[in-house]
Parts: sequence; C-alpha cells; structure tokens
Amino acid sequence: MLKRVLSRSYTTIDRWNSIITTIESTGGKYKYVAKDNILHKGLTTCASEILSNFESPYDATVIELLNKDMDLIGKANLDQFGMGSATANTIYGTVINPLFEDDDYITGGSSGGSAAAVAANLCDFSLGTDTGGSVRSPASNCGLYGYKPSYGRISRWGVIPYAQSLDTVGIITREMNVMKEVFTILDQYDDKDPTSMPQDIRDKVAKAVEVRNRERNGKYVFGIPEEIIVEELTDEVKYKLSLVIEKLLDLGHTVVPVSVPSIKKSISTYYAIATSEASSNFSRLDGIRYGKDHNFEGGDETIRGNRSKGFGEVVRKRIVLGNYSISADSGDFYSRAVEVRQQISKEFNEIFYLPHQMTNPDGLFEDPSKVDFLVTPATINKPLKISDYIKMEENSMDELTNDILSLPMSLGGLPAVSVPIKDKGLDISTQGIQISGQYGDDYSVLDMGDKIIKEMNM
Amino acid sequence: MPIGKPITKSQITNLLKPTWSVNSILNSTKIPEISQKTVDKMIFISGLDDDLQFKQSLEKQLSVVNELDKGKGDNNSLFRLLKSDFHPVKMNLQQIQEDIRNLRPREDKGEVGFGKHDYYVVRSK
Repeated sequence: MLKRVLSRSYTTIDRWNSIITTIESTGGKYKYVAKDNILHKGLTTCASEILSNFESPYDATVIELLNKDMDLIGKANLDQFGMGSATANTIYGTVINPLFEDDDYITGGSSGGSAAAVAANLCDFSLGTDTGGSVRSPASNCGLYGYKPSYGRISRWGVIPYAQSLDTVGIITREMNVMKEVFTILDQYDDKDPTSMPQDIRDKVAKAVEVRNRERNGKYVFGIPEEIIVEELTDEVKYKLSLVIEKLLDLGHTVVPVSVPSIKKSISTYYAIATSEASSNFSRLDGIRYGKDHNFEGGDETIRGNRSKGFGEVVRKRIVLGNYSISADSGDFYSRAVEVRQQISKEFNEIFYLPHQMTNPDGLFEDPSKVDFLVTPATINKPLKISDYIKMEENSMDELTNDILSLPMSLGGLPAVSVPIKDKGLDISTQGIQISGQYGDDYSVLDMGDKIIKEMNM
Repeated sequence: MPIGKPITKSQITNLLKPTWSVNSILNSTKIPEISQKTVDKMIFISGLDDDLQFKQSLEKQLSVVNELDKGKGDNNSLFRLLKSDFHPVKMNLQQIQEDIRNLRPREDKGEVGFGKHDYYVVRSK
C-alpha cells in the first residue's frame, strides 16, 4: 500500500521531501524556492520521469522578476505536472507536512513542496501554481498564507502548462507583509504571455476599486455561499468560520448568505476542462520533441513507450479522461463544462458589487447590498496521515472533496487567499479560512486577509 | 434570490447548517459504461500503453464528470478570461502580414539556441 511513498526514484535534500534541486545562492532580500513546473535556466522536472533530464534554456518571467531582489535557492517537489491533492504523485517521494511530529501527514497538493519548504523554515517564501486549489490547499494544511491571483494577473510565461485557461502562479508565505511585497513585484503585464491581464484592464480595476472603497468607507459586505456549506465540513472548521463571521460583525461589516448554484457542478466542470486541456498540452511530451527518450524501436513504440514510462499513473489516467472529454465519443462533455463555467462566472458577477472589468467594463455600482468578499473555509478537514490518504485515494474519489472549496474561484478566475487561523487550543493552524473577491480585486483580498488575521489574533 | 438578508450573531449557527453533500457526487452509483473499443481508442490516441485498468478508472472518473447537464453545443465552445475574446480588435490582412514580418526570435523566450539542447532532434539508431 505504501509502495509509492516508500520507494522513490530520485532523492530530495530535506527530510520533508520538499526541495528536489538546490540552486546556488546569489543573495537577495528573501530566500525562496519555486515549484518545479516553473522554468529556470537549469533542470525543471515537474517531478516526472519524462522530464527528469529536461534543462530549460530560459527563465520564467516570475523568476526573472524576482531574481533582481530575491534569492532563488531551490526547486520544490510537486504532484507530477500539478495533478494531485497530496503531493504524493511524484518521483521524489511524498512530501511530509512539517507541522506534525507524531507521524507523517500530507501537505495537500499539488504545491506541497513549496508549502513544506516555507513551513520548515527552509526559505522565506515560495512560488507554487494554482490551477484548482494547488497553492491554497497546501498553505492551509501547513499553517501558511497561500494566495492565488486573478487569472492573468501574474505572468504564466515559462510555467509548464497543466490547464492553461485555469493555471495561475501563486505565492506561499509565513507572513502577509512578505506576500504583499512579492506580489507587488510580480504584478506586471507581460507581453510574452498571451493570457496576461492587459495594462488597461489593470488600470480600470484600480479605478473601480478606488470608487468602491470610497463608497464603502471601511465597512464591507461579506458573502457566505450556501453551496460551500457541505456536510463534509468538520466542526472545527465551522467553528473557525463562525469566529471569523462574529469578528466581521463586531467590526461593523455586513455578512449575508449568498447563493451561487453552479458551485455544485464545479468539480465535474473542472475535471472535464482541466483534463481536456492537459491531454493537449502533454501531447508534446513524447521523448522526441521534449522529454526522456528510452530508445524504443520504431516510431509508434517510441511515443507510446516513452510516454507510458515517463508519466505517472495519475497523469496517464487523466490524459485518457481528457482525450475522451474532447472526443466525439463523449458527445459534448467539454462543451457542457464550458457552459457551466460561463454560468458560474455569471452567477459570481450577480453577487459582486464591483463590476467585472474584463466582461463588463462599463458596469455600474448598482446595488450596494451586493458583496465585496466571500468568506469560506480553505480546506474541508485536517491533513490526513499519508498512509490513510493513500488508502482513500486507491478506493474512492474522496480526495477531491476539498476541491469544492477552491474550484469555484479557479473557474471564475477570482483572486483568493487562504489565511491561517489557530486551531482550537493549539498554537498552529491546520485548516485555513479563504477570502476571495471579484476578478482583479487582488490587493483588497490580501488586505482583508491581513486585517482579519490581525483582528483574530488580538 | 442570490443575496440574502444581513445576518446577526444569533443566526450564525443556522447559516452554517449543511445544504448538501459533496460525496453524493464523488461516490455516485450511476457509473457510466464505456465500451472496451472506445477505451482502446482513447488509449491509442493518448499515445499510451494499455498497462493500467483504464476502463475501470475512466468509468470512475466519468461518474463525476457525468453530473454535467446536457449541453447545447458541440465540443467547440471556449470560455477564457482573455481581452481578445470579450473585446476583439479587427485586423486586416495587411496588419496581419506586417505583424508576421516583424516577428523575431527572442532569446528571453528561449527561441534562440534551442537546438543545442537536443529537443526536436530525431536520433538515428
């Protein structure tokens, strides 16, 4: 059962299996590691056999921007190509959560190495990627801040794509001030990335946020989506959420229940879209154009052999699902998913006060009872022991349960941050609270996360 | 109504009462059946060997994806948060040709010296 955990083909440098490649320090204000699906000039493996010898000829834009002031010291472990919920699908061995000492617990995924490296104090911050919760979930499980930007806000240039219409680069830190500093450096339009948020949209967002903040005068409206309050939420996380709501009311903010009905379909929607995009993206990984060549005989055998040897089990299964979703054999799976995604986006726009500056730039501030932020748990339950997780993953789809909290924001392209709130009677947080906002409203989301934590810890 | 009335502290417990179960989707008993012929075709177009229990895993994954309602279109729909999708700028042929003429390989995009890394090189045995 624990074969995948105990056996690994490659070694890491720390006991949590968080850092898989070290990079010579060149000095800088803060030390950081980058998830190993973000290119830097050197080895970038995606924790996969197929890219185990891949050396990038260039740096990702985020690395280029950070390296002026910050110190890249290594690359972090991940679920292969970002596919997974525990950072257990990796050739470097399952990442171990540094918060626990009694046993080996999961960090969550897929940016588990990035989170563990920060939690273990091996660096000051880390970069991860968040396609459907891959930064927020491990940050929540490791007692850290984990931020996913609005889609396009941080450049994706040089990030090996999993699902390009959903992929974002996120930041994990122990301190919110470090988070804001790093985000300010990365918050730039990038002409190399065709999905980068254009400068005029950034300017429009900034102007609209200014108007909204003036109108609100420090008192905001917070929404609690009823579709997020699922049976699986633990009492502990509901208790934390109730404390946050009480605090918001004490501070004079307004809290309202909201309904975003399509949230219930977000898991189905996400898996159809993400696997479809992944199956196309990974077609270039065949050992000829990219990837390790195992010297099979013949063209067909070369491609099938290299890919079967090079991709892990989870990746292969998702590639097959993706190809099915976009094939005529499925009828119109992909199209159905796209329709639900459009509907989710529409439903979010119906509840947010700030108009969406990409889809509705001339929108007006019409109804002040609409919300400025959403408050939800970041993860459904506490991190599982690694042995329990592997058992669960083999027997059911329950490892996707957490996704109901993170996927709606990914599908809507919304900014979201997971913030740590101490567990009852303990000095650590193993389940965070997620604050999210309208597309583009990233600074307000981070500021609000910061304020809530400061108030909660007073 | 997508937005309810403001709540007070005494209403928090009520607000946090569960409305549904995620596991009802994840552990759906409605497992779709896919023919072995279709599964073999998917494995083939995925460029993979048939060394996993793909049929069982595909059906298990599809039980989740299958929750999507019947759609109206074919598989050609797109939804991306791209400015060009929401506010397209028309270009004429001359502008397209000029853009192509002005394209230059960029070192910062890894478009210069790529060949030395051996990618895209088919080796003879």
